[in-house]
Amino acid sequence: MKNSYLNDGFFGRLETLALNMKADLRGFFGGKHLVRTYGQTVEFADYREYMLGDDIRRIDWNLYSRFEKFFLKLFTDERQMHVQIFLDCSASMGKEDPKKSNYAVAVAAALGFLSVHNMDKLSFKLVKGDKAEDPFGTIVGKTSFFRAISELENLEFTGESDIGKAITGCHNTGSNDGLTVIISDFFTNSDWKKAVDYLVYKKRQVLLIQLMTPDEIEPIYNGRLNLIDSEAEALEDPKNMKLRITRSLQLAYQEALADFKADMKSFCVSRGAEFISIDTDKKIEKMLFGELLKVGIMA
Amino acid sequence: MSWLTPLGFLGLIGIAILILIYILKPNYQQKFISSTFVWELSLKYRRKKIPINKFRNILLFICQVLVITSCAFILAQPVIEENQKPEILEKVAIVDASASMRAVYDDVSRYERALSEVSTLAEQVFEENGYMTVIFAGKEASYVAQRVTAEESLELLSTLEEMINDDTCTYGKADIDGAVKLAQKVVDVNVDAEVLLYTGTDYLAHNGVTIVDVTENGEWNAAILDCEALVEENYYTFKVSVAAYNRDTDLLVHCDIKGANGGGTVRMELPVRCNGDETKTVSFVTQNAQTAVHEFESVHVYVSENDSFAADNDFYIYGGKKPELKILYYSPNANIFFAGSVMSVRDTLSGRWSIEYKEINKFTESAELPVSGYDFYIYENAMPDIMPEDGVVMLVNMDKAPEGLPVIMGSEVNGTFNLSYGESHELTNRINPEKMQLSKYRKLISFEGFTPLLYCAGDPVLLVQETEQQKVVLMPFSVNFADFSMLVDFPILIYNIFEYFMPSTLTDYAFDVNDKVSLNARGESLSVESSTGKIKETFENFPAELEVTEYGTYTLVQTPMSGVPVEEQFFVKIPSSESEINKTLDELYELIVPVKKESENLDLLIYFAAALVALLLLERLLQSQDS
Repeated sequence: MKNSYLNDGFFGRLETLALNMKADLRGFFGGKHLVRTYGQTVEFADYREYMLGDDIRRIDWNLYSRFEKFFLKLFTDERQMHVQIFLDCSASMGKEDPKKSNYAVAVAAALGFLSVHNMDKLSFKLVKGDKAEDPFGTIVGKTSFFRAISELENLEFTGESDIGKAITGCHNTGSNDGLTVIISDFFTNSDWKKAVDYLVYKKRQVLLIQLMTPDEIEPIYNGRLNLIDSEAEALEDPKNMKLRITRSLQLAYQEALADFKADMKSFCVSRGAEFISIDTDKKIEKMLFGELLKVGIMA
Repeated sequence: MSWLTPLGFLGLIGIAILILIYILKPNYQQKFISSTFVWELSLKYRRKKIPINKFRNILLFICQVLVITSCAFILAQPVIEENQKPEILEKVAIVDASASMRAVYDDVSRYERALSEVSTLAEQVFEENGYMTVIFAGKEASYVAQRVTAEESLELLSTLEEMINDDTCTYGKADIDGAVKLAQKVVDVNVDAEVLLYTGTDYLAHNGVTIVDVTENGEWNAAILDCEALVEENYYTFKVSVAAYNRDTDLLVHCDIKGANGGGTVRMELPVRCNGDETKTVSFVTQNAQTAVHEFESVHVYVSENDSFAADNDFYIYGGKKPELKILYYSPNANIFFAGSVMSVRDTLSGRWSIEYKEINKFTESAELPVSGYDFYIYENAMPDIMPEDGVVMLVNMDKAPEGLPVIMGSEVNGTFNLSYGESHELTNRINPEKMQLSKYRKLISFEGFTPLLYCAGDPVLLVQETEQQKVVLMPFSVNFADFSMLVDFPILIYNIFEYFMPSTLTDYAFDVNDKVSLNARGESLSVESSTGKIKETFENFPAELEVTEYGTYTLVQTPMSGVPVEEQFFVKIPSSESEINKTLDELYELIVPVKKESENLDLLIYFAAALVALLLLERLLQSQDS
């Protein structure tokens, strides 16, 4: 299915933005992200006294004339980060509502574009079942990015997914070298918190993006309904629920959803991860320039 | 409860349809959603159901069934039929007790016949456990029995029998209108009650009342309807109105004049042909007869016929002999004022009294002062030694106070004085003292027991005393020293004395039964007795009123101051209208019979409508709770 979001105009608007990552990441040489380590950039960072073995070319002679001591001028370092985007490809993300899957792909693409645009390395990890597939490998440069995007547009969302197992089982999550974005609705019984703990352990910056359709935020249907879960394999699947949806149950749903989101947020805060919950009815630009800016990921 | 439109219950089919809808209604509709994850979580948040919630569906269903049932009931138009009172046999018998009901045929009067028929009717009603009301329409209508049942049958029947035996029928007119009004009260209670009027009178319109004719074919009545004594050229002519009802016949009218000219009885008779129920007039002219009558004690006018109603066959005329009044005027120097005034009054009252006037003065052979034998004494200038005790005394310009007169005389007062009013009294009616002048009078030092009627310079100059023993008029001045005697007020005073102290006992000598007769008396008391002796009364306060309920001659006896009893008579006749025993009247007082309602239902529609609204509200409430 052709994703309606991914067009030249969309990517054009993203060119002015950049991902704002933590300064204590180590990363790779090259790239555009300023880090706390001192490097060879032109941006002044600090002074220190000359020590034996230092390159005498870096001595600041102006200071020597004033203090008659040798000081070296230090400059900040710029590193290349590795942005990994884990996209939940379970049926709940788009089987019933392609708009949600399109939105998820668009968000992944937007973040991916920002990465490659800032000369970072990018990986799209597709979470299917308890595995995280990496069909495109590490993407560097826009050419390979757009190739990957064109394929993402035809991505199918089926089956279940276990984010926890998929991420913890992923062999190349890296360590202290960038941002990991998990895009999902998190409507799963699997232990996704384990994945966050794992990524935090691996000193990666973590961003959780929860996508929900308006129907999921505030269901408008009521009465006696047999709710068929998109991830259910058959009618008898225990995921399916027979409910008599009344106003009170709708209120209970909203209460449960609010608590679920609050729990996620509180968990993320406790782990130093970022969390945003997005209504797929919102314009994607609004999400990028609003929610991501708000949490500080976007700069 | 019943139903005006039972077909409305077809609406109950709706219940079956409702059940069908519930059966056919799919239990759960499939809804594909992305994830049931949150729904699963929400189950933990769902509030604990309260018991009513558990039964909400059942209640909702019951509510819907009741709504349909209410609609069906409303369509069926539910009503509660009021218990119709069973028709009760009830009769109201009005018995006409007017004088015409005394018409007798075959020794049984109409009244007796009516009561017998009422008794028979009552027995029939009691046999059927009905109610019986009997109303006696006499002078005033009254219940004999009101809505009595078989339990009181013996009492009613014995009362009716007593009414026959005690001759309770009246001699006057009956209050039929009043009786119908009483019957109305019964009809108001029971609209099925039949009102029957037992009477001999026919009504062209009897307005809801059944007329029971109690007349017999052979009944007829010859009647003296009225008599009148006329004076023509100083002699009496007796004009008699006579009629025969229900029969054309020749009547012989008798006229017996008792005490004619102070002598024996003069008998006269005249034939008259009566037909067509018309009233004929017969005149007995005594002027041309063998004995011309200028005075009589009584006249008996009658017809000797064996008719059905005898009470109106006789008529008595009284008042043919006027009572005598003797008046004495004593004055050594008699003047014309007293004689002129008394003569004037005598002429005025000649129709009532035969007044004998005697004047004694210094020129009269016997100049002695009489103190007895007169009804009215006038002493002027010279007073008797003792007061007369058998008549009214008028003392004018006293030279002394007679013995027994509680007056102490003082000196004479001269001057020019105008008179003024004293206490209001009938003696000073139409007298104006303010225009009278007086130049000399005698002052009274003491006048105990007298009432001052006129004053002169603060002293009484006309006084009156009224005790059982003495009736005295005192005038302590001479008419020669006053212009009083030359004014019209003087003869008026004399006239007032006559009217006040010597009033006429009767205003007329013939009345109808049930008339009210006004009575007056010269004495302290007056006794009245009817010819049958059933009415016997004595009056002491006058004017008195007597209601005459019997026909016939009534005798009045009074004892004036002279002590000689005076006897007078008057006649009470059957009302002329009652003599007409076959009369037909236009209309009877209208009996208003309430319209009997066929059935009176209490409409329950409003209650079912209210229930429907309540159920709809409840259903709505349950639905809102549900969603």
